[in-house]
Amino acid sequence: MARLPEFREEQEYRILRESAASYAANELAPQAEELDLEPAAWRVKKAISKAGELGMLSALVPEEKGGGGLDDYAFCVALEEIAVEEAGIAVALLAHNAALLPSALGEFEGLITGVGAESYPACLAFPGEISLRDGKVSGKVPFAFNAVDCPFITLIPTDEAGTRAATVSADATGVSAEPEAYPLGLRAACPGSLRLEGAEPSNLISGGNMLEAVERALYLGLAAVSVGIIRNSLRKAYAYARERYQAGKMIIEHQQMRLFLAEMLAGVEEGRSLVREASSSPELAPSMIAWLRNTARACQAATDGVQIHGGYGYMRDYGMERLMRDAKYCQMYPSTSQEALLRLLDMSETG
Amino acid sequence: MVATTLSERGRKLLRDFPALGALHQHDRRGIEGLIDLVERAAEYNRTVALPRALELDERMEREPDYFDWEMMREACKYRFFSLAIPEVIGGLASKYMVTGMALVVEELCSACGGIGLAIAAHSLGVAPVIASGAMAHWDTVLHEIVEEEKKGNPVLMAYAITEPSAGTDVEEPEFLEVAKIGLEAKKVKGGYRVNGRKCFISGGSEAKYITMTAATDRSRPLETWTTFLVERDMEGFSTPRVELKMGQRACHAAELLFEDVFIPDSHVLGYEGDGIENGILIIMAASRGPVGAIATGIARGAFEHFLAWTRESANGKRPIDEDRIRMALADMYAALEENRGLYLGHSLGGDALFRNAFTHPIFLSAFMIPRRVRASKPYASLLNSYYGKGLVNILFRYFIKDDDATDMLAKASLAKFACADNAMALVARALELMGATPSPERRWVEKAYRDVKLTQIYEGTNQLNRLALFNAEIAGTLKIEIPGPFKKGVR
Amino acid sequence: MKWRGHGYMRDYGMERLMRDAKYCQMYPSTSQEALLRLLDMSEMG
Repeated sequence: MARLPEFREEQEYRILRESAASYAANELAPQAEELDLEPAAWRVKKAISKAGELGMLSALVPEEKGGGGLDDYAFCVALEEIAVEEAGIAVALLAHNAALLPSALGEFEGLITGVGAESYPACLAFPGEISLRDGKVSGKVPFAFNAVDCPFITLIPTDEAGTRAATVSADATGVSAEPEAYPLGLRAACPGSLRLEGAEPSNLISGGNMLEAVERALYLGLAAVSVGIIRNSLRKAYAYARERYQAGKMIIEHQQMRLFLAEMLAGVEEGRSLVREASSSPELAPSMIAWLRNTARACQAATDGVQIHGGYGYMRDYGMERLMRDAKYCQMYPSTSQEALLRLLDMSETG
Repeated sequence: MVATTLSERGRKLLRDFPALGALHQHDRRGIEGLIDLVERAAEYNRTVALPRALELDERMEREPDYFDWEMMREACKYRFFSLAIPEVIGGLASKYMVTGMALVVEELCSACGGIGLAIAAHSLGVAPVIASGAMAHWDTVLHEIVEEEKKGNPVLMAYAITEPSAGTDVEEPEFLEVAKIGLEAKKVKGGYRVNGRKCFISGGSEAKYITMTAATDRSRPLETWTTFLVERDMEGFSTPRVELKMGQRACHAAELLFEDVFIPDSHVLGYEGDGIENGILIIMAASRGPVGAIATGIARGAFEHFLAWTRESANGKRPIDEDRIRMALADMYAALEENRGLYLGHSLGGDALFRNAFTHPIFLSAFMIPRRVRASKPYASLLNSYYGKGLVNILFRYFIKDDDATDMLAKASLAKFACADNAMALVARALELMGATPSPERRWVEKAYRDVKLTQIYEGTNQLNRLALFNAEIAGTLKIEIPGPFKKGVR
Repeated sequence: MKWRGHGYMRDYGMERLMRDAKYCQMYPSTSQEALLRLLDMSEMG
């Protein structure tokens, strides 16, 4: 394997990186194909449960509130390492933690009531038009992760400037969820749509700009997941290039293939820097920028990875084509890239 | 000639392809034949391909071994399996064989890349029987395909090149020389003993007849590369597995296993040792353009679904009313136009090169002999004999010149990689702009995204095709030298 | 070329940025050379 340039980070992050990597290698890698082909709820839940030891089941909730107490960068480090093996599980964990985020921000003691140790993966119903009237939530969310078989759903009502969040039990009356008919990628994160008709929230949490906080978490988290996908593409393509003979030499000796691999290498470095930078900023813009760049890089890296594999890359057995599908979904959610770009400029003008 | 009234689609086609519009002024009948083909493909899409495309694609992820024979039986009604078979045998291939192929596959692939491939792969299998001038098999194998097609029975062919340890290597002389070849067809008395595997063969598990290129001496693949005709029920031949592909699933990619398969001498197409020219380069010179058309079709399908999405209204707003979406639509349209120019340019050129082989009086005169005689064993052995092959070869050498064939390979390779890259970029961009929209159109574009990637890989990776263009056109180091009559190919 | 025709005119200073930026990309090595070296270095380390 090509050695990545040393990425400077503090000891605590390195330790976390190692334990997240070993969780991913032991728990996720052996079943990465099943998680894509048959992402049954029990399988996903079982795979996610072990992430609790990393603090990833309530990563962004402070320790004093009973959470994992990871800072944003630590959360990204863990997501990146997990995504190296299975981006779908990484996104399921991201959506779950984003759904718990309001309880970290809000005027609130402890975790959200009614949320027990077994309550995962939760769904963050975002983006969508949600209204909160007479203490009931209604609205439609066309696309969200962990949409089906989740214990509870977190919503940010859009009619109150996003300063409040509501959680609704998934089996409450008025809640219906529909899995995506045939998702392209990130299947372990169970994409689907939600409809709420006068559902009664189990919690209402207020305080801070909830909307921006969850948005930032999603952009930042997906940026980190994308770095994981680039690393996986690089790892797989590099290993294949070393063992496959082609046109009189090994693929690794072909210049054009080396350019593809070098682009991935540069992408990891660039991607990590952007994530590191963005996680130290409370603003939304840096996270959006990291997401824009990293998702585009990940799509390219995965597509090039398939190309380096030739026909084998197109076949499921080699696990390469899955990355192409996963990366694309990272780029299509929570907004389109052009929408993000236009908002960036808007924000810079009003800021 | 009585002027026919063109249908709306026909007029649209001539507007979409101005070169065809111009040709129509000179050759109404020929061009209207092409319009007719495209109309058949559109009708097939409406009645067969579109209603099943999504469901079939999803089903074949769960059941990779499943094959939808019904869609192939339906295709018989439209005579899609006769597209590459000469008219003298009862097929549809005329002076616009390559162009017709390309236009039909664009149309079919705009509905479903997998179904389009399933149909196109058959004609690719037929091509070596034509290009090698192996007329001994025209009145048997090709005739059977045509006759069975009329009864609604698809008799399919496939073309097998790729080996597990050599994909791109077996499509380029320079690489074939150093390729790691696993399969060998060893010369024995009366024929060849074949042992080894071929992989990723499109349609290989359904084909009754398979044209295959293989080395008769593994240590000298380039010099001994030979084209064979394999029959499915030959002893020792099997198709042990099919792949689970990311897309274009409606057409299987199969592994072919040869365990001591005996192929008789009569089933050598062309000469032993001329496989790289007649078996690969000439075929690629004809087929890579239509592969560009496959990519174009998939991208056009994605474009149409994307366009439909831009007209959907969400919260009273339509994407198409936004400036940035209009710019993107214009870009995509431009890419499609560019692609069509590329593949049509190639395929019209290809037809200029090959048309004599279908329409020249000298050639046609051979078919004035009654079919009963032509399909007989003695006639076949005459054609398969040293002198028989030599005579056919003289004809083909007269029609197809080396320089023209080399240029055509360059243009075909160009059309292939440029169309595939444009198509990939178009589909990827469409999804990027749609985002996680709840529109049902998204699923079609997602399927196109999976389907289109294969066009950058098969028929030689896009990198190999770039190299072929460079070698044949820019550096001038790759020259097709079709072996002359009565001798083996020399390079 | 954001300012349409104006971008092409010297008065606006936009065309100069385009020329300057291009030289920044071409020196001290070409981008492909840099990429190839990057991979070389990663393999040696």
